[in-house]
This record gives sequence, C-alpha cells and structure tokens, in this order.
Amino acid sequence: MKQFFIQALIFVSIIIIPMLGIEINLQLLRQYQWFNGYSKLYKNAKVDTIFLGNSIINAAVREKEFAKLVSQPGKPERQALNLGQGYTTPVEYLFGLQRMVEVNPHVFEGSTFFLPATGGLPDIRTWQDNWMNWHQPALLADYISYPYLWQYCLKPNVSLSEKVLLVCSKHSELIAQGGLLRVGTMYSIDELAEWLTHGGKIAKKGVLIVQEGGIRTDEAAVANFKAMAHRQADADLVNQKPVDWDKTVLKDIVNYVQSHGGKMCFCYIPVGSVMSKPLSTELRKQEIKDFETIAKNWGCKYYRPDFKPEGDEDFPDLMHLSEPKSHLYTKALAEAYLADPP
Amino acid sequence: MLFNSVEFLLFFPIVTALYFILPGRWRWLLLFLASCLFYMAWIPIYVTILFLIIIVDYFAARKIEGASGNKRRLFLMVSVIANVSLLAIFKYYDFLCQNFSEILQFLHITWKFPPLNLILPIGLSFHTFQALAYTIEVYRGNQPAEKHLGIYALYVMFYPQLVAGPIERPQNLIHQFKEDHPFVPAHVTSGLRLMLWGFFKKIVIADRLAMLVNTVYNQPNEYSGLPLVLATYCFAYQIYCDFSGYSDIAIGAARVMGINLMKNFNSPYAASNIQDFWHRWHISLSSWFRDYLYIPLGGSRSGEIVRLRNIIIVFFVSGLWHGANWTFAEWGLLHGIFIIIYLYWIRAGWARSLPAVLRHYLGLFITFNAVCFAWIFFRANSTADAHWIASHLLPLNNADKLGNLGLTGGEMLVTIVAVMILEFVQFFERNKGGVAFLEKQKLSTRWICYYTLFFYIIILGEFGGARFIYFQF
Repeated sequence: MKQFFIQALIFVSIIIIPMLGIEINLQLLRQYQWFNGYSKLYKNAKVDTIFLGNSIINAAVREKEFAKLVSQPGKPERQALNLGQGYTTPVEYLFGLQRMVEVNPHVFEGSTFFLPATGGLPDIRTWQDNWMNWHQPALLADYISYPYLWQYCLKPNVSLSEKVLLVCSKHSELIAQGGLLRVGTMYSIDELAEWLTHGGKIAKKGVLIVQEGGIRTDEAAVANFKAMAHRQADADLVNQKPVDWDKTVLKDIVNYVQSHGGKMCFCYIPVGSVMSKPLSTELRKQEIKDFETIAKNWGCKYYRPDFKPEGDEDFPDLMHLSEPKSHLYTKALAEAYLADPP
Repeated sequence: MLFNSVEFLLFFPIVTALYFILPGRWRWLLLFLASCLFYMAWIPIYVTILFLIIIVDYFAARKIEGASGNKRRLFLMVSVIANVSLLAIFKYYDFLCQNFSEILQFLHITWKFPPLNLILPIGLSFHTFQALAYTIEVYRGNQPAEKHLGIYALYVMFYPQLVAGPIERPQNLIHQFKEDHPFVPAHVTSGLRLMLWGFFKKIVIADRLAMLVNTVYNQPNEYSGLPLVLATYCFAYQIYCDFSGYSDIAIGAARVMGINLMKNFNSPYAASNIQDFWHRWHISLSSWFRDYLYIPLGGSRSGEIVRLRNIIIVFFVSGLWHGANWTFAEWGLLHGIFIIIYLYWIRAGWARSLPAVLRHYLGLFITFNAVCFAWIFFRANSTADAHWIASHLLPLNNADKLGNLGLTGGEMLVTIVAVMILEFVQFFERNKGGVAFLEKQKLSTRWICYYTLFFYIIILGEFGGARFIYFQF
C-alpha cells in the first residue's frame, strides 16, 4: 500500500514539475497581456483613444491609421489602442478598465473611448448573462476579483464546468491559457500535415482579415467562423427580448469611464447579410433607432462613418470586415470624428 | 452527468474517496446517492420514473418468489408490462402515432394522433432492460429476490453503467454490492488505466471523427463516392470508440471500487464473420436478446423456418431498441439478413476449399465492410438519407472533396495516429480488452504509455463536450 502511494506521488510529480515550470513562465507573461500590459505601459501616462469590444472592432479599426488621421499638425501624434478581442464579454472590458485605473487613477482623464454598435446595436448583455466565454477564460480570470468570483460561482445560469474552469483559471495561467495552447499546437500540426502532403512545402493561405485580437484567418478557422456566424444569427433571431438599457453592463462601462474623466463614444460598424438577419426584426429595428437617443442621454457621441460595404465579399468569414475595407472604414470613422469631436 | 465533463472530474474522485473511507455497510447508500446525483444532472424530475420502476420491479420479484404456478407468471407480466409501457410511452408512442397517421392518411382517413413530445429519459432502454433481466432471472429461479430495496435500487442505478450499460445481470452485480471491497492498489491502477484508455477513445478518436461524419451525414445529398465511403468508415470507428470508450470508463470506474462489470466489447472489427461480430459487439445487449428473446421464442430448436423467423424478429427488435426510427429497424433487419446469409454460406461449404489464412482474412474483410454498410442505416438522419448514401457509394470518385470534410489536415493526422495506436493496442489485446497488456511491461514503459495517452488527450483531444452516442437510447 505504502509503495503504491509513493509510486502515485512520483507519477504525478513527473507531470506536475514541468507543468509548474510552464505555469511560472505564463504567470510572468500574464502581466504583459491585454489590459494588464497596457496598465503597465500607461502607469505614468494618459491614453488618448481606446477602442473596446470584440474581434469585430479589432478587425474594422486600424488604430494607428486612426491616430495619424486625427492628430493635429504641429502637435504630438495621438496614441490609439485597439483592445478589441475575440470571445470577450462586456464584463471583461469593465474589469480590464478597472485594472488600468487601479494602476493609474488618472489614466482615462481626457481620453476618448469607442464602443462598437455592430449593425447599429451595441452589446446588450446584462449582468445576468454569462461573464465569460468558455474558449477564453483568461480574459476574465486575469481581472476578476474574489468577491465577483464568488458572485459568478453563485450564478444559476452558468454550468458547474464553467465555474470550475474560472476558479481554476484564476489560480493557474496554464489552465486559463490551455485552450489557446491547444489551438496553437493543432495549428502547428496542421502545418506539419500541409508540409507532409505538399512534398515539404507549406502552401497554407489565409483570407484577408487582420490577424490580431485572436482572429484566425486559416481555412479551418474561417469555415468555423462562417458556421458560428450562422449559429449566432439563428440563436439571436430566436432569443429576442426587449433590451433594458439600464441593466446592461454597457451602461456601467459608460458610467465608469465618464466618472474617471473619459469620454465615451459609439461607432456604427457594418455587418454582412447573415449577422444583419437578427437585427432586422421589428423589435431590433426599433431598438437600433432608439439607441441614438439612449447614447445621447448617456452623454455619448454616436458616429456613423460614411462607409458602406459592397456586400458579403467584404466579410470573408461573414463576421469580420476584410483587411482592405478596414482601412476605408477607419478613414471614414476618423473623418466623422474630426467633423464632430466629443 | 457526462464522463467527459468537469463535473465528473470532481464527482469521481470524491465519490471514490468517500467509498473507501466509509465502512462497508454504508457504501451502498453512498453509491445510491451518488447515482441519483449522477442521473439528476440531466432532468432531475426523471429520477422519480426510475424510482417508480424500481419499486414495481422490487415488489414484483418478491411476489414472484413467494408465489407459485400462474401467479408467478402474472407477477412477471406486471413487471414486463410496467417496463415495456415506460419504453412505449417515452420512446415509441410518438413514432407509432406518426406511422398510424401516415397509414390513415394513405387510406384517405383524416385522423391525427396527438404526439406527446416527451423528452426521452436518458439511458431508459438500458436500465429497463437491466430491470427486466432481474425479474426474469427471479422468475426462472436463477436469482433470489433481493430483500434490501436499497441494494436492488443500486443494481438498477449504479452510476457507472446507469445510462449506457453494460446491461448487467443480477447474478453478477447484486452480490458485489453486499461484499466488502478493500482498497486494492491493483484494482485502482487497472481501473484508472482502463478509464484513461476509454477517454482516449472517446475524446481523441470518436469526437474528432464525429466532426467529419456529421459534415457528410447531415447533408449527404451534397456528396457521392469517396466522401461517403470515408465518412461511413469513419463512423464505424466513431461509434466503436464512442461506445466502447464509454464502457471502458464505466468498467474502469467500477473496478477502482473493486466492482467487476461485464465486458461489453471484444475487438469487434476483428471478427471473421457476422456471427462472431455479434459475439464481440455490445455483448451485454446481444446476450440479453439471446437469453430473453431468441431462446424463449424457440431459438434454433423448432425447425428451420422458426429459426429464421426468430433471427429476423430478434434483429428487428434490437434495431428498434436503439431508437424509434425506421433507420434503426432497417439496420437491425440488415444484420438479420447478414446472419441468415452467413448461416447458408457455412452450410453450403463454399469457402472450405480456401486456405485457412485466406479464409480468415477474406471473412474479416467481408464482415467489416458488411458491418460498415449497415452503419449507414444506423447513422443516417432518415431512411431517405440512408438510401441516398447506400446508392451513391460507387463509383469511388470525388477524391478532390476529401480534404474539405470538416477536419483540417492536422486534425486528420492526429486522428490517424490515434487510430493506429488503437489498432496497435487491440492487436496485443485480443480477447482481453482495454490496455491490460501494459501490466506485464516494465514500470518505465507503462508510465511512458500513460503519459503519452494523458497528454494526447489533454492537448489533442476534442473537448466540445459531445454526448456519448448511446445515451440517446
């Protein structure tokens, strides 16, 4: 019996020790990622412009071009950050912003924030909805505080698996980043398969979407995004409930930014035919119409850049704007901004 | 609760640890409560249906034991009717209604049977068959009626095999719940090893192949030739790895606690004839049908015609057991026809002149392909889809479409390597099952194998949380 337990201990240790090494490395990297990284960078400085949201805003806005276009001649060039990230939720943006303020309480004074109104409607999720995307627990785990973690664990509409994943991710970066590590490994094996089947050459070609913010452009991922776009559109079409704007996390983000001296704006981002389906119901059409007034009441500018996509070919994976069109969209957004600054 | 879920990852070690901490006389209660929790992870209220059927069968068996003559038969009928009614209401009522409505419509009679649209309790066919095995064995005098209601309830609800078998026999299982099972390191390692192997089959092979199979089988009209052939072969491996993976995890989880469940698979694709296949595939169900349907119908003792009729009945019922759909009925009938062809083939002795080795490999090739052909009917979403697929397998063209069937090159590579590992293990494991051959290897070899399987699952597994296919039955 004693020998059994000693053997079991050795067996587990052989796995645990190298994993601990990886864990330490990932913990070190953690402080340079997403909001953590920027909070360090802006410890003693102020941000000019921040784009928040998911991968749709990440793909649509070329932040450096935007900064150049809105900079005034003779003055130092403005800085713009695009923190749009795939698989994110509004709660994660709020916690991320709080992290930046923790490090530098003045970081947002005079800053301009952009949140996307995709197809005319911004993110309508409330605190009742899930705060985390199963695929990317690190985006929440790295920022959530213990009282909120406890609240999350008590949420009735979240599965035990997700709760366990978040709790474990909060304490282990290896678990938090596990999904990404697995995707990365599979991507390398894809290249190996490509290499094997093409006589030692890698002929993989992606589509033209900006490859940042967790957006993959390889064939498999594009096919996956297309399927996801259809699924999401179908689900959004079925589960339509009227928006209670006061209960959205978005409102808290607006309040938080404004209370820390920032100016919040919304920018219209066009969508393809699939994603626009759930937005074309009477309920959503009315809400899209109402939102301009809501934004005004919240003290936010709502920009509608003079940009129209030519069709679904501008959305190679049915979700994200193509790379060539993102430049045109950015230019149009900058022009709208300059014409009526917040 | 799914075996391949985070919930089970917490549930299993906690229950197992408590099992060994508790004194023997309380273990049945722990396992019973754990089994209730396991079952209630889906639709909690459905546990009451289980309780109801447990109570009916418990008292029916007690009455059977105490009665004599026709009364015994009467109480057996009560149990059979209760179990079959449950299946009929939840599983077959809507199917029968739909078919009656269609027949009446064909006869220009307008009469609609309202469907119940009930959600099927998970694993219903498994535990009703296990409960039926108990009352039939008590009736036959092979098993004393269990006096302890809790132990009997545990026999029906024992969580490792509650929702997808193996469909146990009372003689094998009930006495084990009354025995004291000390902590035996050999049982623990052997059980955990089998569970690891089961997870490998499910998460790495079955769930990955499902992506390819679903792509083709959900829109079969868009394909013909090689993509259909590949998807069908892939389904053969998917369903084997899915179901035998589940059985391995179930048997392994029970073995850790010192409880032995019956073997459910024995390298079925290594069968050299269709009869042999059914001795190796879902053994607990095929032996159930043999003992409780084929033999009571007269088996092979009442002349040739009756024998053929019995074979067809058994396979037809076996097909419908899997689901209320004509695809399953066709699948069952097809297997019945294969068995009959095989029996006449043997009787004719045409293959006797061939060398034994050639005969073996030819048999293996024909059997595997016949089984794969039948899987088309099992997997297809409708009989129309099944007929389309079956009639468009040939010619073997459209090779250019093979690269675009829902799996990337890397995923394909990972799966091919995993299937090679599976075949390699099965080559060493003939007639033993699992990865027991590792026991004889050096410690370092064993550990390298465990680590390889573990990391293969963790890094290259498909964690979409897909259900086991047989849960729906």
